[in-house]
Amino acid sequence: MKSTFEKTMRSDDVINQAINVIKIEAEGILKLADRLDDSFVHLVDLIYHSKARVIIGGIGKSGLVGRKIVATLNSTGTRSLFLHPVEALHGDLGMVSSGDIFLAMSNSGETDELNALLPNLRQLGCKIVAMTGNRYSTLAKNSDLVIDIGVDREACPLGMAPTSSTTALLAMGDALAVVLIHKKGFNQHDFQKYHPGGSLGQRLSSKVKDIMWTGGDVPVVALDAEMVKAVQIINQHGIGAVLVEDAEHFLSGIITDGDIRRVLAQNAAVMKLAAEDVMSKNPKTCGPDTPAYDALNVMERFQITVLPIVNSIGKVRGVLHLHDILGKGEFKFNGV
Amino acid sequence: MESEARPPEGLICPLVTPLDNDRKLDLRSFKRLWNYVERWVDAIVIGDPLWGEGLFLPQDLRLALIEFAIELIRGRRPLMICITCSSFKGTVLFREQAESIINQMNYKGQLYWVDFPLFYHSNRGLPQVYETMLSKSEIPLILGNNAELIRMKKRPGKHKNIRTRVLKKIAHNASVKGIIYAGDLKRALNYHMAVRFREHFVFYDGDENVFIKNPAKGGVMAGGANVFPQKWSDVTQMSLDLPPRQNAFEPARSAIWEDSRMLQRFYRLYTLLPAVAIKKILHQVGIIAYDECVWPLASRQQRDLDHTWQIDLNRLLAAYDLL
Repeated sequence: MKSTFEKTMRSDDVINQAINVIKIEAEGILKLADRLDDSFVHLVDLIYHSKARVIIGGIGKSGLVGRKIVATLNSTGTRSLFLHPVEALHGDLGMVSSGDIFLAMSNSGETDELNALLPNLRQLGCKIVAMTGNRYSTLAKNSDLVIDIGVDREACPLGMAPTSSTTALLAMGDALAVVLIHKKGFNQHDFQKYHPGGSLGQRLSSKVKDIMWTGGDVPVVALDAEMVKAVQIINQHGIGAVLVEDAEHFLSGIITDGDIRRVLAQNAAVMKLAAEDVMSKNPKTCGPDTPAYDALNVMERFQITVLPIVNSIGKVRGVLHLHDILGKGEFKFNGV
Repeated sequence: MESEARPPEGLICPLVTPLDNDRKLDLRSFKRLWNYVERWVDAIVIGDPLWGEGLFLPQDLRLALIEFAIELIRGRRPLMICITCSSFKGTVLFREQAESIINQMNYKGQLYWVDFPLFYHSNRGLPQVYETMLSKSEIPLILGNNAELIRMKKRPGKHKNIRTRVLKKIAHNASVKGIIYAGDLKRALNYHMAVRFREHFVFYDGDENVFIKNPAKGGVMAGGANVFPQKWSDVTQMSLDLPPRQNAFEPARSAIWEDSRMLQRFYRLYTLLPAVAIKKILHQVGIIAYDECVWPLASRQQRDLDHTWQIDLNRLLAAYDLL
């Protein structure tokens, strides 16, 4: 039976070894910061100005890291795909289009399967960007841009298993995604657009007709209705607005609390006016089949909280309040 | 290089002519129709032979329509006035009477004549006709070429389209600003080549179904815009990449496809009897008060309209929740 002393010693070794690995990998990442140069800026510009996709290729551990970077780029608004170099040579190259940006990931820069792909990618009109630890490698020489992800040493004591180098690659990928988030002005709502799993996401991914108010719940008055009635309806429904429609149910306008205040400032006898005299004509509208996300965009762009819903010829079908999409107490313009 | 103002581009709506039960101009419905389409259209045509029943309306009613339209529109959109009559003399006279009214009203908005010359004249001597007619007018002209329309009048064997070389000669007249063209693609290409010396000569699609498939650069004259002005505006602006929907086609591709599909389904419903069918739809959805027409209908057509067609229309209106 082993003594407690022996056990303690072994635990310390384990912890020390782990600390050592983390330190080596951290050093590797920190040194990356010093190596960042204009190539990284050019890469960010290239992706930012391109309407095409970012395609990432790599073999082994680099390939696994590449898949993670693809996922991060996609969820932050940069269209991205993973292309396995071997599968690419056997038909998957068909997914590559002219103008795509190919990020080739290889620490050594001498991965045959990856390098064999380069002439074909060039022929297809792709920009090739190497993410490699060897600036003088075949991959680097055949690329338009080279991002240096070299590390001084691997954390593996044998120097064989990719450890620090893949961590550096991962960090560089995250750096790229985050810089693009800032450059594109990608905000919380954009993020939610690509993450429809949450409750807000579910509401955003539904159609307007699924969440709008319909039938008797829609605050609506006729064109010639007196303002007394319009104000009563605004109070009853509690969304701060009433829709104004003509005899054939075509939307003519909308009266909001703001409209009443504005008219009141000029004409104290607002209650004697007809709805037609107070309403804002040609309000912004959406159709019932519009995605809720697009309706939200309209509301944000025009700084409105109530959106009339009309059919293809402009007849009133419902009404949507900002709270119906974002939930009460949660809404903030621009999602910040 | 010509130094002329560009005619409007985008969605041109040939308004139907609302009539009451006594076949007089229904001004209230016309105003309502104008209010309904105004926001979405880039120009309107009044008195069009197919959509506005121009060829079958009495002259005094057509002149009253011009007067009322000018008062109503007040320069907010370019106005295109169709002057085609069943005879050459009639067309010349109508153009003179219309221009006299316009001059009296001292109208400052953009105006264009629209004319389908082959309805009353052959290709021979057409350039000279326009030289004479337009030398007396300050209002520029948009040509119309629609073989289906001409087929209503001319017997087989006669030319139903403006010949390419004739168009080339007509286009030397700077007052002719463009053409509303309905016909095959090959002729359209020949027309384009014939007038390439005119930088701002505009081609509008005269067949809206063709525009949905292959949009002409200048836009479309879509009768369907009487009923669906917003949808037609969306499709036109995005197809032509016009403001305010520039660069909007890609993200809205699926929505535009759905809208176009709907517009095509309705197009099939009204294409054979444009004015009659559009008026019935507008009346049924409550935009105009009467569906009265002056378009001469055969008894078989009337029977179809009352039964089969009406069933199809009701089905389509219900499918798109338009009633």
